[in-house]
Amino acid sequence: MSAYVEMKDVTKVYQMGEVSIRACDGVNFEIEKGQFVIIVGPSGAGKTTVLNILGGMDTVSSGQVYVDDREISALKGKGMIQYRREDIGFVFQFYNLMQNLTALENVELALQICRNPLDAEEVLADVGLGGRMDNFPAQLSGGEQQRVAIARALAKNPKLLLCDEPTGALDYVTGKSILKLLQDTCRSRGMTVLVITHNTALTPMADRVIHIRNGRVSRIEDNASPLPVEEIEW
Amino acid sequence: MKSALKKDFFREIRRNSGRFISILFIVLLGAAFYAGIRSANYDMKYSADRYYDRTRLMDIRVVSTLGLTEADLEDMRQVEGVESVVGGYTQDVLCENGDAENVLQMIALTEGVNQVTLTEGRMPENARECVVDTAAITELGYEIGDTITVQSGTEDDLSDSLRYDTYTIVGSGSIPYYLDLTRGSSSIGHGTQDAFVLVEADAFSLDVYTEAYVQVEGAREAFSYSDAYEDLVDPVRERLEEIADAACQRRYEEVRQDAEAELSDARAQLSDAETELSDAAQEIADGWAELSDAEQLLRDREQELHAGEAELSGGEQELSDARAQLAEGEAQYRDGEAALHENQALLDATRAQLEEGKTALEAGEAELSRSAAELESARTRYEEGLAQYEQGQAAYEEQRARYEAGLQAYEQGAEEYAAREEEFRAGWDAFVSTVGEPREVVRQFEELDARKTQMEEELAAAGTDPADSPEYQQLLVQWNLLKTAADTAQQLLDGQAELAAAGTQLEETRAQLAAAEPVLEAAAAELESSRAQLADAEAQITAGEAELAAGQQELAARRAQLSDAETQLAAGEAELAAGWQELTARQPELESARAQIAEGEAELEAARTQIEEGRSQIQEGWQQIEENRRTLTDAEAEYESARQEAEPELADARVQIADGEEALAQLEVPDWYVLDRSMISSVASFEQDAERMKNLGEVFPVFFFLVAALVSLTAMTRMVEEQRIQIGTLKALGYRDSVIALKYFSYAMLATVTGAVLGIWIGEKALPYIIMDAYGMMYTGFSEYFTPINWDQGALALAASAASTGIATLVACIRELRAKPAELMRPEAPKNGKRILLERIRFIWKHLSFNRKSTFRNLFRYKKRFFMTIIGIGGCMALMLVGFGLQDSITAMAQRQYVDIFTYDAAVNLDSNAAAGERRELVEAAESYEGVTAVMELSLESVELQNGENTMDAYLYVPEDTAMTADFLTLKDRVSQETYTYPEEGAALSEKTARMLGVSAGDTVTVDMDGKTAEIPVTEIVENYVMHYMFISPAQYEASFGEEPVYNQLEINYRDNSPAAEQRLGNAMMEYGACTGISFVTELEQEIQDMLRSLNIVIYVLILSAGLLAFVVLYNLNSINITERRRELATLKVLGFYDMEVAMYVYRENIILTLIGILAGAFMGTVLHQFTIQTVEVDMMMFGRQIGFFSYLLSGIITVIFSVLVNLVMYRNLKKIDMIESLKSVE
Repeated sequence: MSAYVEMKDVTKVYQMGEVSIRACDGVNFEIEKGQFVIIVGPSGAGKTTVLNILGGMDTVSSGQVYVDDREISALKGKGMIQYRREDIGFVFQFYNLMQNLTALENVELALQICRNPLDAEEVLADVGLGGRMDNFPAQLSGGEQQRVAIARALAKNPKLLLCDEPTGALDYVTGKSILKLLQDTCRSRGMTVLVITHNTALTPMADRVIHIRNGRVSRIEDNASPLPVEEIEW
Repeated sequence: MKSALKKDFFREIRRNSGRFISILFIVLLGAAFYAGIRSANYDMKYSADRYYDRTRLMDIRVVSTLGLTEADLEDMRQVEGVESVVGGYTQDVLCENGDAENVLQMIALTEGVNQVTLTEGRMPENARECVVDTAAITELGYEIGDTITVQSGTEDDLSDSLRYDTYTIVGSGSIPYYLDLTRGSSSIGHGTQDAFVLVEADAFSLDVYTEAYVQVEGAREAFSYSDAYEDLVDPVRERLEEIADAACQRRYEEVRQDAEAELSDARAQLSDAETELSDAAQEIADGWAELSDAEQLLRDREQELHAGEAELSGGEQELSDARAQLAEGEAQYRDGEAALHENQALLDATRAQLEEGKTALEAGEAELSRSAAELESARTRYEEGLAQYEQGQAAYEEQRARYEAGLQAYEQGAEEYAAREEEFRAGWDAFVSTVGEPREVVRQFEELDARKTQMEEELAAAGTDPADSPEYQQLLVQWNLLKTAADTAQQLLDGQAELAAAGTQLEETRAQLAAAEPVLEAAAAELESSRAQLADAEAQITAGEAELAAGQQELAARRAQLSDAETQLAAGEAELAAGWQELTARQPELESARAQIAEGEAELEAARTQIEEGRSQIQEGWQQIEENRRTLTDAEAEYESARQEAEPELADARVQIADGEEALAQLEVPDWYVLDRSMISSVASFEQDAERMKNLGEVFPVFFFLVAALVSLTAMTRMVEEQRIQIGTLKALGYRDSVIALKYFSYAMLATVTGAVLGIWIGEKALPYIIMDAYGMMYTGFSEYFTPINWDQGALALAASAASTGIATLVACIRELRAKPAELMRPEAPKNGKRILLERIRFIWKHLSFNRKSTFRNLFRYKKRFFMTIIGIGGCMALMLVGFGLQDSITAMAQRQYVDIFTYDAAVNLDSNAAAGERRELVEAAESYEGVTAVMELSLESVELQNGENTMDAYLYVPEDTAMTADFLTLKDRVSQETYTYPEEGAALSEKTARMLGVSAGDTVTVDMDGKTAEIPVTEIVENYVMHYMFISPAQYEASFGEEPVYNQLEINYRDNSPAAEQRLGNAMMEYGACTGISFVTELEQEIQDMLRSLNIVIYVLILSAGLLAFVVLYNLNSINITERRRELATLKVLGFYDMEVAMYVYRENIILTLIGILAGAFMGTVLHQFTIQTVEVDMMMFGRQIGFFSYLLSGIITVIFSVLVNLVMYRNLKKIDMIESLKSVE
């Protein structure tokens, strides 16, 4: 039985005219189901590329990617879309909410395209927005917007929750609360959560930390006892 | 600009080439269309001017009613400003062409003016060759190499005007005078020239020119349709008109003197010939008179002879009558004699008979007296018999009475007896039943008595007293008892005996009576027989007496007869004697008659001889006359042949003289018509077409341009807004606002100016060419199209394009630059999601699917984009709709005018100077023409209508009979389609006229007819599209102008509208002098259709351009839309939306926007169409006002098709959106 998520010798080369950039140069790691994983590394290390590949938004140049025993690196076109649709929840740095839809409607937007969705209102209540469901994104604070985004991702009931710098645009306190929400979700729902950040201070809260540098995994460390977010300071 | 910024500028263009190109292209399109359409007017006129110059179209044409002499031409040459004058000939002739008869205009080729442009073939080399109209080849089917034979269409000989009647076609070509397909009207054939034929001037035999072509100095250099040209030509025209009077007077004198001299010669010749002829005729007439005198004499003699003959035959007749009379007299005499003899014999016989009768009469008398005696004795016997019989009768009666009495007594006794017997029988029977048989009783009593007696005896014997003996006592009682009974019985027995005795007596009496009865019977029979005998005897006596009386009567009659006969006999004897006497007296009479007859016969014989002589004399006379007659007839024949020979000549001479006299009398001082180019139909109509293009350019391209400008400026504004972060960055870096703005401004200018210059160049080259090519279908002579760049139109387009995008860019830049760099660097706060109005209607909102909800919110969120898109799509829709609508309006015009409003089929122009009789004749001919259903006379006069400052030229339409107008004309309201009856009072005014005058129903219009004015109230405004009309009744005309209208037109309706039938009708009408022309509605309709067909092509250009604009606008708007929402769409993709779902997210909005745009466009188009129609139409026409439903549909469908196309193209762009974008921060 292999791991829940596995990347094997993944390389990704961008051809920019005559220059080829190796964004990933043989990335290998594994993630177990229900783990809270943080991928950390400096800017340009290739963590976003890893996320894009895992999220079905980009293809690999070589190597394999398995998610729940399915080789997603072999998917193409419609298969990729289906994978995104069914298996992936995505949380963006800038929330990427539909401005002209209310919080609830933003969640519903995701729900209408997947097979086994959760109840939108419940999920929103779970992320602590029970009372603001009918507000438009512009009427919500950044943290609240990010909660909506998380709710939107969670409501799809995905196999994998991918978060790209979820606190990048948020202040410290709000960022913390968002991270807590993610950690709680992982714990309470058994959701496999993958967070990308450049902030190494966050690593103690993860079950597994994957360090990436220059397109390669430089180090993988497992925390036997991850700290709750409240106890982390940065 | 700093070099880094410069690099950025060019990279910007390269990176976002789509945007750059689209702005460029929109500006290009707008400028091209604007400049192109608006240049068409000038280019058309310019090309025409070049053509006129090349072919040296005359500037002025002078036509004289009496022709132009070389002297006239020379005079013209002397006029200031005249460059050259060339004399020309034209003559209309007829030419058989298959079944048709063509009217051809023969035109003399001229040097240096009105030059021919050969289409094919070559120019004529001698006077027997010709070049024909190109139209003759294409329309009429003539071919090069054909020989055409022409004939005069009038009474005049062809040789009067043309030297030859056949010409060989050696080429075809066009002349500038006839640029289009319309040829002039003609006074021969069917009234319209079909084609022209160019021949050398030598082919004409006319001694004067029919017209002269004048070229004005410097006019060729001037622009033909310009005011400068008119300023140059007008004074020359006026100066030519000034010399006209003198020249005309000169020509008049010339012609008049020639004619008079000729005329007097002819008159002298004619009178000589006439005199000669009449002398000869006189001689012959004299001869005839003499002859007839002789004849008369002879005839008189004959008459006399006939009278003698008649007399002779009368004498003969008389004689034979006398002879007959004599014979008759003799016969009569003999008859009389015989009759007398016969009478004598008859008389004798009668006498003998008479004697015999007398004897018989006497015998009868004797016998009669004997029978009278006999009868007397018979009567006596009868008297006796009768007495006897009466005695017997009395005896019998007595006996009979006795018998009757006896019988009666007997019957009484019998009755009595029967009663007694019955009584007795009853007593008997009662006794028997009570006591018993009487005889027995009597016997018993006798026994008892006996016993008593015995007892008494015993007792007496016994001596006992009886009284003491009981036995006796008892016996005594019994005895007493029985004694009574026995007494009764005894009585009964006595009665019985008595009764029997009475019966016997009765029987005896009856026997006696029976014996007496037969005796009586016998006596009665005897009496009866004697009575019958007596009756017979009486009858016999009566008969005898009657016979006797008859015999006596007869005898008396016979006696009377006899005496009559005796009298007659005596008379007959007397008569006979008289007869004899008479007969003897006639004998000498007969004798004298015989002598007379013999005398008469001798006389007659003499007369007969005389007559015979006379007859032979007359015979001789006749022979002589016959001879004379023959001589005379010969002479006459000779004269007749001479006269017949002379007569036609004389008649001709006479007619010629009369004609000449009439011509001379009618000869008027000729008029010169000095006509400039504007009087050439094709030159004028080409100008009108060019003007139409100009009018079309007033509104349509402007709107087109506005839409294009709006879209391009939006694109620029968006670009500035999109790049706010860059602007902020630059600003933060310390660049001055002006430098930053310059970048965007330069970008806009580069796109706009490049686009505009390209557009102007393409538009001004292509569009006028296409338009002229379209008109080239009609203006066949016109083949070279010049499309110079018109900088006035171009500059306007360029300036307007540059200004609109430039200002918009600057405004957008200034707005952005006003903000602080920090604000700019932050992404613009996303536009708040808002609840839209629709959400308030919860019912509908709840039922919308989720996607719909977001679509609606999106639509209303970006209001600017919403309206921009609507205006863009709507604008294109509106432009296309205007295009189609124009087509509808133009098509409707001819259709409505000549099918719905003018329902007549043909109009005949009447010569208003023609005599009333001639006109009547024409009207009647039209009415009786086969197939003609109705004919109406009307008056059509040009008038000027005035209302305050506004004046309009119009036709005053006055029908002779307003009741008939319904068949020829429909007066109705355009909007409500309510039809009006022809106004008896006041006037109906055509719609456009009313609008241009500014009057409405109820207002009054001043009508100016050749200086006479009248105020006429307008009662109705009626639908009308071509020309201006005022419709009034003859009564109104009289009331207004105080005179009757002159009916100068006929409108005709007929059944067969085929061209052949119309040509026949036209020919028939043109036969009449009063008919000056005929026009057919089918032709008018066709003319209008032709005129506007070119405009149709122009309209296709409009529609196509509008479609193109629609495409570009939609593409641009869509691409802006996608660019702006790139991030949103990328997010959707990350969320796992399929491509189609992402596309639909955008498309739904587009579909709705397109539909709303179409609706808005339909509305805008309708308004714009109204506006365009009114600027495009020329004064004399009104286009239809409605856009057909089909046009709406078609414009909508085309818009939808473009929209779909654009969306399909966009699909590619949507697919290309990179999901990674979603991860980036808001730029």
